[in-house]
Formats: sequence, structure tokens, C-alpha cells
Amino acid sequence: MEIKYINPFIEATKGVFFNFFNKTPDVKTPYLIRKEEPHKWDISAIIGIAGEARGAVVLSFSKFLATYLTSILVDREVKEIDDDVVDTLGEMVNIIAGNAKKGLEEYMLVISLPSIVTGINHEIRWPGSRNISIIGIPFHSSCGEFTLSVGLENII
Amino acid sequence: MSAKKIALSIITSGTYDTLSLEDRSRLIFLNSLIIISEIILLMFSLSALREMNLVLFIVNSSAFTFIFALFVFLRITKKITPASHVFSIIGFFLFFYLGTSGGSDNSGTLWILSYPLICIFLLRLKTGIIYTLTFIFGVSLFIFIPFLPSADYSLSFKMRIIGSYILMLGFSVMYEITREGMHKKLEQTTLDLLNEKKQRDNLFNNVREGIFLLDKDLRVNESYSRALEVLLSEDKPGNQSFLEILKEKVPKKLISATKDYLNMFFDPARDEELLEEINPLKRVEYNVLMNDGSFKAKQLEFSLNRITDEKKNIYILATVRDITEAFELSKKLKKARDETNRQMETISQIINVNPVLLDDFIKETEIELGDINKILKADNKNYVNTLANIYPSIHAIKGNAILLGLSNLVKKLHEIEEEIDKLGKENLSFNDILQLIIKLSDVQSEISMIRESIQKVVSFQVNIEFMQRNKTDLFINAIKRVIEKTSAAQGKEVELIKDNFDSNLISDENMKVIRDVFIQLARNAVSHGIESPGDRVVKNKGKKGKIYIRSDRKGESTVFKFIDDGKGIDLEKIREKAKSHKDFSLLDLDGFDSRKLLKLIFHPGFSTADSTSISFGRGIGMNLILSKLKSIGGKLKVQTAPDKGSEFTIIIPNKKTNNRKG
Repeated sequence: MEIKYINPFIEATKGVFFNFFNKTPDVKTPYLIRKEEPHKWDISAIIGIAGEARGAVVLSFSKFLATYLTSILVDREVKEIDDDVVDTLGEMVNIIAGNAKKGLEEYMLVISLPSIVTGINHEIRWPGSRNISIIGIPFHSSCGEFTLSVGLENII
Repeated sequence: MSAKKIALSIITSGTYDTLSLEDRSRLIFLNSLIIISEIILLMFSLSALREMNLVLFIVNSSAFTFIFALFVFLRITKKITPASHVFSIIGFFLFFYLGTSGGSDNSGTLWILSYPLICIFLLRLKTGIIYTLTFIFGVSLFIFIPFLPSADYSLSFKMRIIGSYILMLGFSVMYEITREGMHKKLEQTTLDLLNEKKQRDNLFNNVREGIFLLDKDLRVNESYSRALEVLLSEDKPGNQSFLEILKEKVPKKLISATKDYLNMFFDPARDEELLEEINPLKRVEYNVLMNDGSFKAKQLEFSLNRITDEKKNIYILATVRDITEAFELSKKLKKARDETNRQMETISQIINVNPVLLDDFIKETEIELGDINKILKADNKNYVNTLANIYPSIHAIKGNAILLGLSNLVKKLHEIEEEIDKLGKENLSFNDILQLIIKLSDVQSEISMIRESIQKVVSFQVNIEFMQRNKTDLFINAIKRVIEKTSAAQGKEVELIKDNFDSNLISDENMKVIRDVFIQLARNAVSHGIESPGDRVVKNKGKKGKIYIRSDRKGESTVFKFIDDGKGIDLEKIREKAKSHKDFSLLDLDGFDSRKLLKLIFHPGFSTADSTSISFGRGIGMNLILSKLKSIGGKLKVQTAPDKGSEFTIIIPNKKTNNRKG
């Protein structure tokens, strides 16, 4: 895992969050995540990465934040994780992935369209070897927190 | 239905182009003849009627009726040969009448000249010749034999009629022979071409390589081998832009490189061999997006050649092969080899270590990593503090790893420590800390790999659960190993004397802390306390240094002692070191007595070693010991005397419920 692959995602996340909600989230201290570790998130968007590094970048939200953000964007009160929430977060993360791509152009990487997983303690299948190392980067905003998790393995 | 289509329907009897070329031309010819003769016959009938030539009218109009019936018959049955016979026979009688009677102004004799043409074309050579010869024979009979009815021709006119007819017949035969020869040739050529196309299609449909042409706009040509669709995972690559197909499947950078590269082919001045050498598509990871958002990666190999057609147009002939299997296999092989090497290395390191000790190590390491994560998650905005807080855990893991001889892990942890040392003094950015966490995550995966290796080894050994844990041995062995390793590294000789030590006095929950403390003390004693054998001899102390460990249970607490007979703690050295340390710059160090100076060694970041190496001299040691002891309510006392040695006393309070047997 190398920092140069992660930074574009952090920047893109901050940028998109600011553009959509006019708030720049704070980035907190990163920490280690174990593959099988339970988590507190209700919805995650997974962006697959292949090429010179292989793995995934995952954005995870609580139900509260996901519905809150969706409410702002669809202009109606959303209480449950419904299709609108999935679509909205999918679109948002799609833009994040798109913006991150710009910062990754010089590397031999292929970045997939995000796919969404929902449910309490939903399982995220990390691609790559069993012992892949994952780090979590927490974001705090005035309307709640979310996490960017990165699990990448260098090929070669 | 357009007029053209109606006309086509009439002259082909509604078969359009379903028949073979030969039959079609005969059918069209027959129908055209029918139509022309119908028009002519109609005109003749009308003119005969006007001239009141009743016989001619009857002949013409009956021929007209017959031919019309034939037209209908042909349209319904589409039987060309019988219709041709019928037409030729009608013609036979009509022309026979015209030829022998002379028609109007003897012009009927002109008509008969067309009979060989019609007959031979409709009925082919053999039958046609029979018909035409019979015809001219019959006509000759009638015009030459006086009592047979015929027009009154002069002899020379009769000869001319027959001569022209024979000439016409000859030409018709020659023409038909040539035509048939040509036709056969054409048919053969068509057949050859068809075969060739079939073979090519066969090849294109069954070849496993993707073969296609690229034009100047880098579009894929319409004809390509079927395998290309599968290889590129593209339904219809024909007529698509090649670069567009590659988009989202290979890195963007590669696409622009490919574009530049392919365009070089269209410059005839570029050497093809050179182009082959710089081919960026020699091996491409081609990532196909699956429905679930994941990628399926395959390895493709493109080889490209320039081809030029007769009009000097340049194309690129591209061949693509799937080399995933071969590539994956070689990669797997390499990975497996690396993994095995690494695991073998780890296994060889851990195979000599007591599995219980290893099991403890993994458990403790995971606790330490958990502690580190707790500190990180607590998110202290002051990164320097965060680092300072996680440092002891990393140091502890490293200490244990050294003890077990896990050199890979030690190296990684040492790097992290050095990184923290370096960063600790500066203003830390988010990236600095991210970089460090990435390194730490590396350690985490290394540890899970060790755990995996251990499980492999353990399955060879006795099951841990059933193994009786002999604490004394474990504890003593751990300390022994540190002493052996450290002294060997420094060329010292040290003996551990443990006669009055009972590690059963240490409770389970305190075991880890006390072991860490003893290990650190042992490391310090060998590194800083015990003199080299030469020095010891000079001091009359005996070559071998001695370290005593003792334990004693006294009412409410248990006392452990760690004593060495080295040179003692060099107080002046501490004073000097402290003077250069920024944290102590405000203190009146010169006025410090021995007790105060000794306290300094417990300050974070204080170390008297001149250089750092993996096994000793990292200043966190004594500070770590004290804070760990404090965490279990312990106390530490130090006494030292020059050239006599140092004595560390550790006092641990006994738990009231803890009724262990001494």
C-alpha cells in the first residue's frame, strides 16, 4: 500500500463533500482495520482497484448520515435506506472516484464504478490475499462521521 | 410494388434471383422472347387482318395464343426445359410457315435466320442442333420439291436462304460453345472463390487468436476473427474505435501511449522491427467490469504489423492472444516461491521456539496492536503525543520479536521506531502519520502471516491446549535468551543465577509486564552494566559477569530483585547526557545528587547509549518499564555503586484474592 494511491481519494472525498453540502469534513487520525473486524456502518460504497496495485477503496456511512445527506439532495425527508439513498450515495461516490481518477492518471491503475452494500455490519469482501492490510481514515463533519477504508496490495 | 419490380417479376416468372445463373439467363431469355414475339405476333395478326390475309392471321394469332399459354405455364410451373421445347416447337412451325410461304414480300425468310440463335440458346448445343437441322432440312424439302406447297423463290434466292441459315447456325454453335466454356470457367472460379471464402471464414471463426485490421482512424475493420469478441469482451468490435474499446479497461495512461504508438505505424518511414520493440501492448492487463462492480482481469498480448494494400493504403494487422493462464501461472509461481521463502524463513525462526511462547507472543502482539488502535481511534489532534503513546507498544512488540528471533518483523518495527524518532521532533502532518499507519498495517499483515505459519508448525507439534505450561522455564528462558543474544553481540560473557527465583510467584495477569521489565533490565545490564571480559579481569572480578534474579513473597507484596555485578550506573555520564537534552536545560544538573540523577533515567527519551542499534540503546526502555510497572501498581527502586554493580528492586502488591501457593 502506498500513500500516493490514497491521497487522491482523500482529496476527492473532501472536495465532493464540500461541493455537495458546502462543508469540508475533518480528517482524523487513521487506524488499522482487521479484515474480519465488525464495524458500525450501515451502507458502504466499494470502488475496486486493479492494475499496479490491487484492492479496494470503501466509503462507509451510518444510516443517519446516509439518510441525512440524501434528504438534502433529494429535497424530501428520508428515514430509511431506500433506493434513493443507494442511488444518491452511489452517485456521490461515483463522482469521488471520478475525481480521484484525475489524481491517479500517472499510475497504471484501473478504477471500477462503485457498488453499494447495505445492512447492519454488512460484509465487505476485500479483494487480494488473506493477509491484506487495511487502514481506516475517519472523516468528521458537522452532520456526522464516515470512514474511508483502503486495502491495497502492490503487485510486482 | 415498383414498376421495376413488376418487370423483374414478369421476365423471371416470379423467381427473381433464386435460380442459378445459367437457368436464370435462360428463363429471362425465354420470357423476353415470349414478350417480344407476342408483341410482334399481335402486330402481324392485326396487319394480316387488315390485309384480309386470313391464313396468316390464323397462324399468327394461334401462335400468339399458344405462346401466351406457354407464358402462363412457365409462370406457374417454372419448368424451363419443357417450356423451351414448347417454344422452340411453336417457333419451329411458325418459322416453317414463314420460311416456306415467304410471308409478306418474302420477308418471312428473314425470320427463320433467328431460329438457330433462339433454339441453340434455349435448348443447348445438342438438342438445339437437332431442332435447327431438322428445321432447315424440312424447309429445303418444301422449297426444292416442286409438289410440296411453298412460295415461288428463284433458285439463287433459295440457295441464299439456306446459305445464310447455315452461316447463322454455325455462328450460333460457335457462340454457344464459347459461352459454355466461359460459363464453366466462371462457375469454377466462383466455386473456388466460395471455397476460399468458406475456408477463410472457417479460419476466422475457429482461430483462437483475435485477428483484426485497424485503419488510419484506428477503427476495427468489419471482418475480424470471431475470437476477438470473446477476447475483448465486446459484442461487436467491428467499425468501433479501438481506443474506445480499451477505455475503462486499461489505464488511461496506456491508452494515450497506445494512440501515439499506433499512429507511428502509418508513417512508412518508421522501422517495423523497432516498432515491435517498443510495443506498449506486448502484455496488457485487460480489466473487464463485471455486473457486481468487480473486475475480471485478463492478460492480453497484442502483436501488430503494418500492411500496405495495392493502393498504398496502410493498415495495422493486429493479433491478440489471451496469455492470462501463462502469466498467472508464472506470477503464482513467483508469489508462491516468495511466500514459501518468507514462510520458511519465519518457520525456521519459530520452529526452535517453544510454541507456547509463540502463542503468547501472538496474543500479546494483538493486544498491543489493539492498544495502538485504541490510541489512534482516540484521535489526539496532537500527532506528536499520539506517536509518543504508540511508541511503547511498538517497542514492546519489537522486544518480544527480538526475543523470538523474528528478524523480518524486527526490521520492520525498527524502521517504524526510527521513523517515529525522526518525526517526533518536527511538526507532523497528516501525511506523515498516514505513512506511518501504512507501515504499521504492513506489520499487521506480517503478524497475521506469522500466525498462519505458526498454525502450520503447531500442527506438527503438540497441541498447545494440552501442553503443560511451565512458567519458570518460559520466564527464565526468555531472560536467558536476551542475555545470550545481547552479550554475544557485544563480546561479553554473562551468567544468569536464578537460585532464589520462583516465577510461580508472578500472577498470570502480571506475567507479561514483569517479563517485559526483566527483559529490558537484562538488556540494559548486559549493554551498559557488565564490562567486557578484559576490563573485568583488570578489575579482578572474573571474566564472566553475573546477573542474579531473586523473588520473595512478603505479606502484602512480592519483591523481585535484579542484580548485576557490573560497573554500576555511571552518574557522571547521565549528568553529561542530561545537559545536552533540551528537556533538562532548565535544571541545575550540577547540583543533583545521585538519587536525583538516577531518576533521570526514567525520563521519556533519555538514553545513555552513544548509538542506536536494534537490540539496545533505544531510550524508551526505562521509561517504559516504569510506566508498565505503575500500570499494575508496582514500584521500582534502584541502587548502584561504582564497579560493584546495580540492584533493581521491583515491588508488586499481592491481590487479596490471589492465594497462590508459593
